[in-house]
Amino acid sequence: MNQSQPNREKLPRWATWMLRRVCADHLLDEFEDDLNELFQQRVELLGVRKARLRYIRDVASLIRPSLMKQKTNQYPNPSHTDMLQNYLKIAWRNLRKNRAYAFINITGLALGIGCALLIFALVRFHYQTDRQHHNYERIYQFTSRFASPNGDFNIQGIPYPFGQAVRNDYPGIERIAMLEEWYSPLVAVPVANQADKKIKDKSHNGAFVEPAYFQIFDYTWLAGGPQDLSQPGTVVMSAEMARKCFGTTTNVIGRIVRLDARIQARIVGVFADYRDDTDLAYSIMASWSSLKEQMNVRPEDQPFDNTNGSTHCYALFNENFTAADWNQQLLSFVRKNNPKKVKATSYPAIPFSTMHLSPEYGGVSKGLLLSLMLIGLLLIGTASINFVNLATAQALNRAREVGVRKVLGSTKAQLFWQFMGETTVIVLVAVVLAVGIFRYGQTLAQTYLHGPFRFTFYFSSSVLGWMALLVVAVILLAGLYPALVVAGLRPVMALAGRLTTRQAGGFSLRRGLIVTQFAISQMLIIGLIVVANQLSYVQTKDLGFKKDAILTVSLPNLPAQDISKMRTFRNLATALPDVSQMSYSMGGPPQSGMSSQTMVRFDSRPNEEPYNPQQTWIDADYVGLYGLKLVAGRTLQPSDTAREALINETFMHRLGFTQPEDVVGKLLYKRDLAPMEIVGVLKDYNQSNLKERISPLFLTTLATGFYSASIQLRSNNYSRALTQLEKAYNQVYTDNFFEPSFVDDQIQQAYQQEQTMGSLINFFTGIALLIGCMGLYGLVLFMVVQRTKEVGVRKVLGASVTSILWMFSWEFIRLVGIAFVVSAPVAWWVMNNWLANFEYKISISPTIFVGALLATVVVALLTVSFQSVKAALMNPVKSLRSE
Amino acid sequence: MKGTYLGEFEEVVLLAVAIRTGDAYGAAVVNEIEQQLGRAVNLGAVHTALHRLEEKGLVKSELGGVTAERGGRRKRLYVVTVLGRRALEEVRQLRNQMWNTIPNIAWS
Repeated sequence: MNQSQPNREKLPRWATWMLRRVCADHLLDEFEDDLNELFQQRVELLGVRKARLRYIRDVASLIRPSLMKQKTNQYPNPSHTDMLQNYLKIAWRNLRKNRAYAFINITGLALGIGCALLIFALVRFHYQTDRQHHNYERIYQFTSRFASPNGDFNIQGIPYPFGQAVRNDYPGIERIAMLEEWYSPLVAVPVANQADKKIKDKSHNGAFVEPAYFQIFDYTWLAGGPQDLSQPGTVVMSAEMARKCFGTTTNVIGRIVRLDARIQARIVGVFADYRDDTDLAYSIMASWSSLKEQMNVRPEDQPFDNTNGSTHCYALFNENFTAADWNQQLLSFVRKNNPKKVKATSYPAIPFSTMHLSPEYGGVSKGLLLSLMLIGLLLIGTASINFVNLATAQALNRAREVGVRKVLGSTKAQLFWQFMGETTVIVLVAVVLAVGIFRYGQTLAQTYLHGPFRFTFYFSSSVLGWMALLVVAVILLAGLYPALVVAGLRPVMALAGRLTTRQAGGFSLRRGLIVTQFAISQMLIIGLIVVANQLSYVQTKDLGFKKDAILTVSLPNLPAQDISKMRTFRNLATALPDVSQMSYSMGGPPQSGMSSQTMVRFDSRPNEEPYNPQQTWIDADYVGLYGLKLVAGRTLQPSDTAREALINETFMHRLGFTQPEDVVGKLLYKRDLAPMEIVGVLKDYNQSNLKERISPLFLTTLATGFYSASIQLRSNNYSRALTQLEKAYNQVYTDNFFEPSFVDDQIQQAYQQEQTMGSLINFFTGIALLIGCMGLYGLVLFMVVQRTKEVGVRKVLGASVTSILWMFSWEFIRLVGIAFVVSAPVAWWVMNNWLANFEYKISISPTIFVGALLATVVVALLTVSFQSVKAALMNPVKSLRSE
Repeated sequence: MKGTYLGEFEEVVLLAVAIRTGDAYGAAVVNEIEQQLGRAVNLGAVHTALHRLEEKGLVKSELGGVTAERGGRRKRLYVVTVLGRRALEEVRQLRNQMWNTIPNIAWS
């Protein structure tokens, strides 16, 4: 039938294709054969065209439901779950047989997943802060921006009369509320026939607030409400505060408390405690109009060019009004209210949602959160790499089982899913452990993370979603490759026991994975060292003033300090044997940053200076107590009013002088103060933390503006000195609270964010290293077992123990070196970027890199040698005998 | 026997199978019918009919021996069963009965 060949090409192929797609399998052959036979006959009888037409008609007639039904099997079809029991049994047996391997995998995965969960929860906490207010999208905060030749200076503070000025003129702004922060106010609760019960705690902050604030932000009221808060002498408090004051939250309305010993206030509302994820943590809020008693002048009557960093303004914008709309009208607003500063000052509106993540307004930096996320991902990566390495290495042990299964008819897909299933079991066990680790880490976080960086875990359904996603991702990442490798083992070779490591999972992949692990560890170590170095640098750098054994005590928060009381306190304090010196000032130690901006006129120049120098008040002993250095002139003479001034070098340069002697003797003019004669120039010192540049500063004696006493202690017996000082203080300031704090502690606190970052990186680097080491250990364990015979032969041929050790170690040292080549440039680039945040920074020296390299080499060697020593010392007779 | 209704086309197919006894497969039946009736028949119709006949038990099929022309695949050969033969005879009898009932006057 060779004639059938040429005719076959004339078949309409598409018709055949359609038939094949549609028809039942067991009938297909029959149909096709019939079609072909008929086609042949018709070609000869009727010609090609007619034959093709009939062919097509026949195909069409065959496409009908009765012929499409697949033949049902006589035998029952096995379902997908039938093998599950067997798979589970085998998986369990395997885990028990290789306990070390199982332990390493599960622990490594648990650590990785647990820490990743912690990090994700932490980052999520910061992104969710304050999101619970239902007007969230429309809430804005007004900020002040001061333009200067050095760049713009943004603060959260707003002038006092701002709210009033804006309130009625802008229809797009639905609600506006001023809020003045009040740091740990002293709350005194009158108790019948006894002294007032005094409550003051650093963790409790208060505020003066306008009632509209409660319409912008959501508060739940347990009793009373904010309506009466517009009247002076009223206050609302949180449930926790009410319990502290009265022991209960019921019947609290109408009772009286005294605030900071001056303001008598009636409680008009109690609100439910807020959760930790909010930046508006005020336990007690007094009416805005009560500020008059605090400052002796109504807030609305304060001038516009006096800006206090703790005065905030929040607003609720209409649906159609955006920040851009406000910013357009900004210029006319400033012109109307603050005409002298039009060029330099503006009040942009920032969406409240961005506040928590803006470091310039005291929030958490996004960069930090992102780096933490990255570390979390790296941890997961390391743990998965471990798993892949160990699983592929172990694949050889399962080779015989796989061979038998394949011979018995298992498909590749079945084997693949079997091993994926084993991975899933291991991962799920690890997840259970991970949840335990997560909870433990959470309690650790509560103890160690404070301030803006705090973390409290609130459960929500999205956390579960995240966890499920994470688990699936890990299972895929870790299980995919080993399962593929195992499913692809060739049964003949496997059964004959002739599979080599190369065929099972490519040694080069394993090497690549180890290199990646080492690279990650090295990057983390380098980062750790750089951060630690930078932190110790800023903390020990000579800031330009003394800080040992000096403590500060805050004076009452009065609009004008009582001079005679200060004198009394000074006399009492300096009489104590433990006190060597004492000085009053506005803001305590020089680096506290407590100063305000202002404008001055210099000498005979008709116009004000175009920049904003800082001003602060000190007394005559300040320079001596803190050891500030004069480059010209002398220190201030004792005075209670402003008569003389000191300026710093930066100010001198801004004035246009290079020789300090030239500026001594000239006069400085500031509104509301008498003209001051410049009597000395101070060497520059850091007025704030080392992230900022030094600003021009002048200091003068204005006793009514003192809020802090700096006391130098003589001896080491601090506790005795503190008790005596407390007694003296309470004698003079009966209504106030003695709150001492040491200057070197305060300096440390300024770097809280960096410190937190440092400790977090420390912690997670440690974990990543741990995971990496465990993986390495498991791998070496396996390699040793694999090469037992090789070691035995070598020993018989005369190899020494060291050469055997070297044989194992060399492999890994090489990999560490390669990892270093990859990780060093990346780490250098990242660290450079981070250090750019600091004005004063260390330089990244090569010793850091060498140190990191050595560290990883040592760690790798230790891990490897643990097992390889055992191998090297093994009796070759034993290892060669077991054939 | 009364239950198995035999359609007209099915009857024709059954007859063709009977004619081609020993070599009755799809294409052969098609050829036979086309030859006998002189009109074109679709393969699908034939196979459906064979399928239904087999379900009713009027034919049975077996895979025949290996032949070269089908590339080594075996043909499926159909054979009329006893039941099928009885059904055919019954139909024929019924037809004859009807023929006999025609009054002589209408047809002469």
